[in-house]
Amino acid sequence: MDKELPSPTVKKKRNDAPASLHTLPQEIQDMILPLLTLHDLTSCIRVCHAWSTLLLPHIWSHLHLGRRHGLDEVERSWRKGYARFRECAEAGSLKRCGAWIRTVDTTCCSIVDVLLKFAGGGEEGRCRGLRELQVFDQPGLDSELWMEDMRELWMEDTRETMDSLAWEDYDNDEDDDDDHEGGEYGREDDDGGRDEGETYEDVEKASAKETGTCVAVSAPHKALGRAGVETNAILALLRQNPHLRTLKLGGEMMSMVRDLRFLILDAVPSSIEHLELWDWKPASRKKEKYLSQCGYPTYQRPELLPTLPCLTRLVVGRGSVEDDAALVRILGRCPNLETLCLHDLGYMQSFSYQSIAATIRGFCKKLTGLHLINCAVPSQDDLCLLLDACHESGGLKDFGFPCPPELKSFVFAEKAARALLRHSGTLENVRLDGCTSFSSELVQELLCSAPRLRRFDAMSRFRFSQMDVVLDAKDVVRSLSGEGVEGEEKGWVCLGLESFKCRIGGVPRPDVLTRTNGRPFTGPLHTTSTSAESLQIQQQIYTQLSRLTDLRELVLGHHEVNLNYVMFLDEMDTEGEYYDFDNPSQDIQGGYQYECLDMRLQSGMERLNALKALRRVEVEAMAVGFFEKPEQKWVEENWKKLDWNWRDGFWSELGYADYY
Amino acid sequence: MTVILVSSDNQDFKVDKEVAERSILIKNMLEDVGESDSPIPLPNVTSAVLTKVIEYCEHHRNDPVQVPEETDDPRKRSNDIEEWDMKFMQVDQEMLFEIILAANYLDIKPLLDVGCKTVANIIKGKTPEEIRKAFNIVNDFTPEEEAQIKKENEWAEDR
Repeated sequence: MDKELPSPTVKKKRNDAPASLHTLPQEIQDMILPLLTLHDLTSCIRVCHAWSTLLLPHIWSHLHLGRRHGLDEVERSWRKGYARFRECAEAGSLKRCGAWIRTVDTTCCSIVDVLLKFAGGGEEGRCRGLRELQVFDQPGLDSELWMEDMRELWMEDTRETMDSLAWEDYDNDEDDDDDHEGGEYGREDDDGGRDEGETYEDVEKASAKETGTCVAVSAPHKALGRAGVETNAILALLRQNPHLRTLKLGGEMMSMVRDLRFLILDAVPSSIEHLELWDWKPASRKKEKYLSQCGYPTYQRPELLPTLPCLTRLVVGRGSVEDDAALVRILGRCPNLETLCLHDLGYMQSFSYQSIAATIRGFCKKLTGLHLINCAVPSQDDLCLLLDACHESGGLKDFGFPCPPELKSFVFAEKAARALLRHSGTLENVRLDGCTSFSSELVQELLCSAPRLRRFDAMSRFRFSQMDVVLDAKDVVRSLSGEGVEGEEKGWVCLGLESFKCRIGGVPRPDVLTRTNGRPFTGPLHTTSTSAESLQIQQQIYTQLSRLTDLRELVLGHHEVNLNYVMFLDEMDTEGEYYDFDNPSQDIQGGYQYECLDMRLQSGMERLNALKALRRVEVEAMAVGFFEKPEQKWVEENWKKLDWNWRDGFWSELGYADYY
Repeated sequence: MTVILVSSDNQDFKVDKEVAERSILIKNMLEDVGESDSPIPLPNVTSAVLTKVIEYCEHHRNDPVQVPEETDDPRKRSNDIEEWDMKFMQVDQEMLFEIILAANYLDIKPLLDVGCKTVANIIKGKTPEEIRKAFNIVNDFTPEEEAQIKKENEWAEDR
């Protein structure tokens, strides 16, 4: 039979063969194949040689093994998946198909080891074509492994005072009930059957030699032993894949000895474009001691590390104090870095931020995106340092500082805000949810000075008792009245804004007489304003908003009010209003329905008819155009693109929690 | 206004311009040529296939033009074939592939989409033997070869 298939890119001339899947032009195949599941493809490859030749690369190009992300994930012990993949590898599949692998995405780091072990000798079969490697070693909370690890951790705690001899006892105990599949990585990997890359082998030999027994690596702390073995596998894989573009490492295995992590960092190939390092928590001294006893080589820092000229995005997350060392080392090697994301670095000290800022200043001259996600930056001076360092290299385009309620103590106050405003000439995307002390005047100043702004997102995802950033209606109106006068504010210049998510407060609403929970309102808010004044202010705000004709998302509040939550807050904490606990003198800062735009035809909504691109409109505690017929009709006619399912993936792609 | 299309076996088809312009290829041709009565030769399409394609275009003559903006995940949409289209696509395998090739050549994106979805739906959920039957393919594997292929790729099966 025709084992030698014509390359699919060669267009078949008509009528010299009956049309079939494998004789269709490539562009049509590319339309059909994405419609099939991996399962369908495994049937297809068994149909005939031609189909097999055509489809095997598709099956193998993307290796996704382990738990799936997302809610509908099928609960499947990764142990099982690992065992299955290993069986396939043992059957020789990696020798045949290893070269087609482009992406490895796994939550089971032992896969990496299998990739090396079974890819076989010749250059052809080896996994040398990787473009993307993602290893997040995160066994599910419900998986057996997690239970096992918890038991080990518990044992570790109870044996805190014992010396290393006691560990071996524990290890032996553990071994007795440890005969299930997949639990014995250490032992498997120590039986000397390796014939892969030299470096890998060397490290392995070293560990085997010095420990003398294989038991020592497999346990006492299995996760740790695994970490060592898998690190070496990752190292070897990195060294044989000079075209790798994306590397994402994280999970349990990364909480290992510093030296091993530095080895990995140094081995990152210069082709790398996107690097993510997660969970680099320092190993406890005990772990370090244990691993060093296992004979892992001492790290010697090379004299000169090559630069990573292609690296444009660096993400470091869920790490700890030690991260500045790793971060600074990497930052100093990437002259073309564009985006830096720091996630959940809760415990970094001032000096860490200072050294990061200094490194940015010295080496990363092209940095245009800075994202500090859930980072408790210790002081606003540190933030200023970072912002100023970025300013020297031309100014930031993207900046994000989402601040969840638990980090409320941090203040994005005047000084830091000024440092950000210095970037206003270049800023395009800004995210400031939860930055409650970013004042209304400063928001207004940003909107009036950032002509390139496309997204200004400053609303928290959920309604917290704490306030969001609020833009005061008075500030908006004031800037409008100053239009054209020199030296005065000129109104918003960000006319290309696509997303505006920010509360607009301070709108007098004499028509609102009860709280969200139905009780009468007795506070000091706007009781003196007349309806006419209210209307005038609202119309001025609509006029301002109507100039933003590119707007796709206009979110001025949370339209859904969870009454249970409100009731709870009302009774327990805040009397139905947002309450600033730090500032008891100004007790009531704003309300649910109070102070917000009443988005109806009667209050001037029709001024927004130029916003043809709108996909989403949300105002506080009301559904726009939902209840009254004329408004419904108006919305249908004017905002044809409204679509509640539409998502702007910009922030989530950068690792932010999605707003919706 | 009508135009005349000529199939590869030299048959003339007289169709409304509006119908013919469902094909972007023909639409562009007509725009380039301007007002002209000369027949349009389609050397890549047989009369049997052209008949089917015209039938499709007639039925969809009033459909809004597809906006290429924002394509969804294709996987999600493989089942949403209209009933008429589904019936229309109930042809033998050879004709199905011919229609797909013609839709590709004539640049009729919706027809191409439906064709690809139909092929995918034929494959979906079938065993290798059933697929062979559906596409008239001869099994050229020895039993050992097939077993080996199955064994090597088992990891992907439950996905």
